[in-house]
Amino acid sequence: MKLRRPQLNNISLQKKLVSIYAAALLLIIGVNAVMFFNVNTMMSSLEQIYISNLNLDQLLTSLNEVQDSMTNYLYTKSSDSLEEYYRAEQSFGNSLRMLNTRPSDDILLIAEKNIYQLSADYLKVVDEAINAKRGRDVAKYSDYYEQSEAKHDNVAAFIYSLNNDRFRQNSRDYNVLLTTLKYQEIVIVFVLAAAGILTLLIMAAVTGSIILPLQNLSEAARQVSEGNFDVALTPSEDEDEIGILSRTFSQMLTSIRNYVAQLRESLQKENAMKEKELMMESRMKDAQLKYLQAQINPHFLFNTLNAGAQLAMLERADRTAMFIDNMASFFRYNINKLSEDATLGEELKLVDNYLYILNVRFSGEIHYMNQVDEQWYQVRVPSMILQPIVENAVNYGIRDLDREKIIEISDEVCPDGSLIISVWDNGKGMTQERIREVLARESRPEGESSSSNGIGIHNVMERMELYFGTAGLVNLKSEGQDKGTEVTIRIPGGCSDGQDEQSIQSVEGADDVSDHAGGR
Amino acid sequence: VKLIMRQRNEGPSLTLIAILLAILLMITAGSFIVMKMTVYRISRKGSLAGEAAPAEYQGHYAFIHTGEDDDLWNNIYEGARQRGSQSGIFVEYFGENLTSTYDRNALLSMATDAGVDGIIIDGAQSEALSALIAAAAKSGIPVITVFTDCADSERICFAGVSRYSIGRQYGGELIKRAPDGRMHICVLMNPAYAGSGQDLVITGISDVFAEQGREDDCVIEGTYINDETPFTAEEDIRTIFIGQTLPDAIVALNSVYTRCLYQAAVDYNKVGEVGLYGFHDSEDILMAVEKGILEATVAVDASELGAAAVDALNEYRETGYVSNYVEQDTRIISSLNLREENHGQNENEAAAAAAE
Repeated sequence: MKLRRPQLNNISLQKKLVSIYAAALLLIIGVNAVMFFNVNTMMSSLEQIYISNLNLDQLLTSLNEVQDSMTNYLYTKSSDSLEEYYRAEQSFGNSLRMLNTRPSDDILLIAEKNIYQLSADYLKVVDEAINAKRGRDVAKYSDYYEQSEAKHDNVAAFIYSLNNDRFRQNSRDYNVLLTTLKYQEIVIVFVLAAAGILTLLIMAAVTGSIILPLQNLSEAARQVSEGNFDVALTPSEDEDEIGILSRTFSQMLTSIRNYVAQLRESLQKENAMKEKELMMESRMKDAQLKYLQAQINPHFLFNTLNAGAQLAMLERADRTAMFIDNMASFFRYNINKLSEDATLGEELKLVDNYLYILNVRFSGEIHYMNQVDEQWYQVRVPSMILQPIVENAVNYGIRDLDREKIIEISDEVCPDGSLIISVWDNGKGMTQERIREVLARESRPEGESSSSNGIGIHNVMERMELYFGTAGLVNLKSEGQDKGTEVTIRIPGGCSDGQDEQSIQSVEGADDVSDHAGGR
Repeated sequence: VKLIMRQRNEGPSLTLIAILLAILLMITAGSFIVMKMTVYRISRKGSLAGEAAPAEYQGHYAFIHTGEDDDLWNNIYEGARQRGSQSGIFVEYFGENLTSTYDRNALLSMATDAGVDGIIIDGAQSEALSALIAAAAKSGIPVITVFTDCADSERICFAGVSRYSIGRQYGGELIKRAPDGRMHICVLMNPAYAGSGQDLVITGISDVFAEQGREDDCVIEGTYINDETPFTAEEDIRTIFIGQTLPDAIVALNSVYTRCLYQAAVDYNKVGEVGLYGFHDSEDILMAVEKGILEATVAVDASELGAAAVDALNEYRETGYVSNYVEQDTRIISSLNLREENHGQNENEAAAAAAE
């Protein structure tokens, strides 16, 4: 088929199939034609087999006619009989011409030769007899007549014998032909069956090669349907429908691949945009924070407080001076630290300051306990995270308590190395519903941000998230009404940070660590 | 990663198809050839007009023999046919295939009418035959007599054996049988060949005895066997054994008489009592010699005789002349020289086997 392929390349599928069918048909017709010819030839041979016997019969009949007409003429001398004689002689002569006249080693052919010669001799004698009759030479034609009788009998005997031999021979031939015909029948059946099978095989092979690209195509389509666009079809050189379909499919695949690539690129771009947007948002928050910080005129306040503190000292009002100093520290921290991160120690110092101020305000009602190990004081955290939580604990937890008001800050080390700072109060506590709402940041009571020092718990949560890049660092726990609230802040990697920086701390000294418990 | 889909090779292989196609075409062509050959073979023989005869046959001789001793004559014919085909002549056993039987003269007449190129005939001393030979000669057909001559005819040649020599060969054997006493010898002769030299056999025998000075010791009696019908010969020969006095030795001058003779001797338990001398060397006759039923037999190389006849005819047709008489040697086979011959043959065979 490879040889044929180039010729088939530029032919349409229909023409291809038709030509294959035609070739198969030709094969079967050709084989049939040969077989038909065989049988036909043999059948006509069969018909011809006994023709030699018929011819010999004809020869014998003609011979007898010659003899009879000659005898008749000798009897009657009628012109009818003479005419009959000439006709018979002519016919006999014609029949004789069919005989072999040359020497041969075939006894049947040699018998023909003998008959021919004997007949010629006989005809001569008969002719002499006729002539003698014309010459009315009774003695002569009687003699010729007797001779002709003897020769006629000889010729007849030869013809008869040859006819016998021929019949035997022909019967043998007839049997041979019949046998051969029977074999031919078997051969025909076999050949036809073989031709049929062969045709099927050829059709299978050729249609297989035609359909192969189609199978490739369907396999490719299947893979594409499963989402695999990375398939390549073997390029088809055929110009038929399947070839065109294959190439078109390949082109379509290429287009789809390109489209997918473009889509992916644009998606990536979109993601980058979103990221940028998020960044922008965070910047906005930052800006908002800065804005909030800027709402207080810190320098003025700070300078004023410093002036107040100096005044109190001059007037020897030590407690007032200390109060104002704490206030000044509190605000200074606000001014210095809001824009950057701080150490845990600085945050705790701020809580000290804050609670000192409150205790002055609320005449030392709040019992504050700082249980945080000093080794964690150098851990870095976003600034202003503890004070808002403590402020919340005061405002919503213990403010209206009639009993003793306690706020306790403690530390806890997690197995994963993170440090947990817990702010606990013994205040009103929270319902689970409320805890869930706060953690889900669902509600943000309008008054919250204003009632606190401008920075609510949500802000703490968001800044922790932004700072450490992890959500869920702030948690709330409460065992119910009047059972207090615990707010925990998880500082990822806090433990390792703390230990790394412990040495620095020991060298520099903890200048204001001792002040931490100042508010207690 | 690109998956490259390869061309799968499914379906029947091209080699298989090619082989099947070749077989199919071969069978088709084969059946066509067989058919053609069959039809050709049949048409060659079936057509009355016939194929042109093979070019190598330039002549057609008629071989004519009627009567007994088919063994001998078949051998003569076979020799003639083979020699003929060597020289491009077909020798036909004339009249053999005819449905009715014709006598020798009728066949000779027919062969003459059939215009054959030459005639080989079993001769006889008869005027009618001489006349027919003359008629053939007149038609330009040379006639050769074989085995038995037709003297005083226009036959161009006689290819045969010397009856006198045969007589002498018999004589040599017979005289051994009667070293001293008298001997009554009966020679069985064919009346169909009366006057054709059968008497010379008797002369030959008696000359051998005479040469030994014992001409008075032998009484030779020539007996013509009745040949009125083909079967009377056997009856006639049996009559000899039934008769009052049996001859001391009986000589048969053809193979049919020889077979009848030894069969009768066996049947009447006269083997050994009468010395039997036969003619021809067919297998059964040699067997009888070997068993001692026959004392001896005279053999002629029949096929050589036939070949000689064809040679003579060919020579005559080529040159216009041929020797009047071509003699073929005969040899006597007795149980003694048969044994010697067999012994020699066995030795030869043993030598050949040893050589192998």
